[in-house]
Amino acid sequence: MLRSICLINAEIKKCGRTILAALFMCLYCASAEPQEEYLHSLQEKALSLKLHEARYWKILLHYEKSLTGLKSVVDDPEFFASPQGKQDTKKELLATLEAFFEPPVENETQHPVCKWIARFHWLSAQLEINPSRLPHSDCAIYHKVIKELNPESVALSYPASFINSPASMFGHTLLVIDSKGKNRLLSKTLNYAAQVNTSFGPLFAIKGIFGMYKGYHVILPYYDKVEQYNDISQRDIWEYELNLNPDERNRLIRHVWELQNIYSDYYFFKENCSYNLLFALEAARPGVELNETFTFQTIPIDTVKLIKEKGFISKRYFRPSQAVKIETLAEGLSPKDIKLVKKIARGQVETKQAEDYFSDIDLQRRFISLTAEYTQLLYAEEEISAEAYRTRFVDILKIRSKLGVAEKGAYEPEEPEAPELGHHPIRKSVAIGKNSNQAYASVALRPAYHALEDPLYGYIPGAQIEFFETELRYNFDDENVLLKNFNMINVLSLAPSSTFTDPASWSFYTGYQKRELEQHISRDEIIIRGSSGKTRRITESVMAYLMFGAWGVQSNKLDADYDLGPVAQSGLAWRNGNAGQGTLKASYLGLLLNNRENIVEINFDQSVNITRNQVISLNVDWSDVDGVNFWETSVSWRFFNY
Amino acid sequence: MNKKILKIIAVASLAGGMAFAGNVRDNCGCGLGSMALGDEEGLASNLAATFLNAISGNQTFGISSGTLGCDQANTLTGLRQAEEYIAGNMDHLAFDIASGEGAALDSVADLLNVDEEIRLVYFQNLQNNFASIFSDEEVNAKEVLNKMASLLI
Repeated sequence: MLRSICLINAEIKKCGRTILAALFMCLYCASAEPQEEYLHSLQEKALSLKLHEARYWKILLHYEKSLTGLKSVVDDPEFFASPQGKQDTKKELLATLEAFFEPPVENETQHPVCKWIARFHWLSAQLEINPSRLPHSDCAIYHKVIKELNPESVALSYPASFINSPASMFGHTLLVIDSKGKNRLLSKTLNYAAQVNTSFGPLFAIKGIFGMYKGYHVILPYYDKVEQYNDISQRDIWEYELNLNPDERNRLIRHVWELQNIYSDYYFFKENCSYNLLFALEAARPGVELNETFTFQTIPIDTVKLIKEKGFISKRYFRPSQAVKIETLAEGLSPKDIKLVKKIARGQVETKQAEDYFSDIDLQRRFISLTAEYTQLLYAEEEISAEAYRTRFVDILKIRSKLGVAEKGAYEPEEPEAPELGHHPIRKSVAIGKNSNQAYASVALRPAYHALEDPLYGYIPGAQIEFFETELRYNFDDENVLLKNFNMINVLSLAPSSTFTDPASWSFYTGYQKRELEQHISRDEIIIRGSSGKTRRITESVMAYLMFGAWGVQSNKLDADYDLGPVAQSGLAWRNGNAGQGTLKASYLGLLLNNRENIVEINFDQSVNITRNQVISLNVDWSDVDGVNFWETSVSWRFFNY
Repeated sequence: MNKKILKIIAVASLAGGMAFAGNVRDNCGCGLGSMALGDEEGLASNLAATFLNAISGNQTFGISSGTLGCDQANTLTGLRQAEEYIAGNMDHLAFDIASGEGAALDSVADLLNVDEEIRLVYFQNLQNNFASIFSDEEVNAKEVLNKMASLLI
């Protein structure tokens, strides 16, 4: 019902700071009766048109099918007109219309007509609302903001994954609203991210997975985000310009306006940054269905693939991380030159020595620019103090300023393989194989995301993240079906050392495996394992790693049912261009506490890529548990989709 | 040289002489949004201000030490934004000025409405004067902006 609009005294007292306002209030109150009538007629019309079931209404309120019927993904009560708005599309619709009749408020942006400008705009069109019959129908502030913003285009920005930080291993997406005639760095972004209050990894993971963080939609200047990703996290950014027409762009911006500072509970796998942004794109182009595509998980790059498929993308732009820029500048310099760069940046050699180091001007420019960038990197990594950095950085740039302008694009890194062209995350495989016991057939499903054995195009080499891989087997002799393994989390981060950085590599595994002990005897194991070490690039396409760690195992076939012990892992990972890729891995696992056991596992896997989303693989496993060997060879067909 | 630029320079030199004053809007920082809403103090709408504004926070890297005076020069749209931008991107801007090109430099030029045709010359001019713009490493955004503006002529 209409919320006591005519509490005349109270309202006049509140708003009647000036005579004009008081007068206005009185006029307005006097007309309350017809207003109520008008509201009723609008509500009736809305119901007869079934607007609460309209797709656009569902998009604007982020309604989605759930087990208990339609429900909004948004959790912030501020987002809804009705207290039941999250679950009830109809009540929300009626309450929204009612809210539009609220008396003017001092702060215009708090008025529903202004706060929910996209809803107001759409309902006005559907119901032919006559603005002159509303107590307040304008949102001057919005138009002022838009005029100032002068939007010209919209882009989706994808800071690529950064394997060494678990929170960002899938990458991230944000919307960028470009202003006319201004560099994109000056654009505004809509960023949806969890408000995180812990840096303790496991707790962060649990809270993130189970929706225990609030995620806020926040507007930020793009240069802030670029600095954060490119310069601090060393992540490359891909920008995808969208081909929205002016109407679509306006719809998107109105929806973004409604979303700012609103929270939804954050779920790492599905209701994450990328998922929430898709609503904004649907609001822009309502004919296109986007969110329905994702059932269990929304991997940021998949949303890029999806909107590309749906024809949203007109242009792609690569914004390299500082690490990539540094590697590019270093091309053509000798190890001796680079040694000097490092010494100057660390202050071990005076900056002056950089002057006239090369007589060739191009080499000298590279050399000086590299020294400046590297000094900055050292500061970002807190290896040199702020004072040392400032003085050194400015001194180096003074030298650079005397060297003129470089040839256009001379130090621009080549655009790497585009991530949206990589294989899809869900891997299904069928295999036939033979082991020391018998022949078998198997099926396996891996919901996400990438393994060293998968086609590498568009992926960061050495960055494996697998969740919930499940393999079922049928044994031909035993005539039984069994669960071979359930690899809940299987992460391998091989970060090769480069000239300028020397990151750690690490691995983490937890899951269930059936371990073959001897002929027809196996053991069910629940495992948690972690290790860390180093990776080196042997050639352009081959990496080698060595890591040490520990594992814990639970099994009813072990004394005391569980045990702990050391782990050593080593291996090679290679890429055969686009034709295939492979790995050779060896691990040692010891049991020390309650049992004495030494396990050695060796695994070889070579794939031939038929397409980026289809491979044929040969896999050979050999294991040794306290001197008893077990062999297994299989051929599998693996295919990828999302 | 067009009129717009001359105006900017004139105002920039004025702004340079003004004292820092005032309150940063607590909730939304200062910048584009508070600039757009600058003459509507009574309306102080967080929503709108945040939309435009975007809290720029403290500089991550070290060169700049200037804090922004959010209240000054409400009407100087381009300048206000330029100063804000420089404060948040001092290091990149220094690098770009020394190199005579780059995205941070383009951004400041956009905010100052520098004509495309004169940018090449202007950037060269800035590059040649790097040492005077960044005369010492304690330089703040306002000083950099003023020097950049004075080199536009």
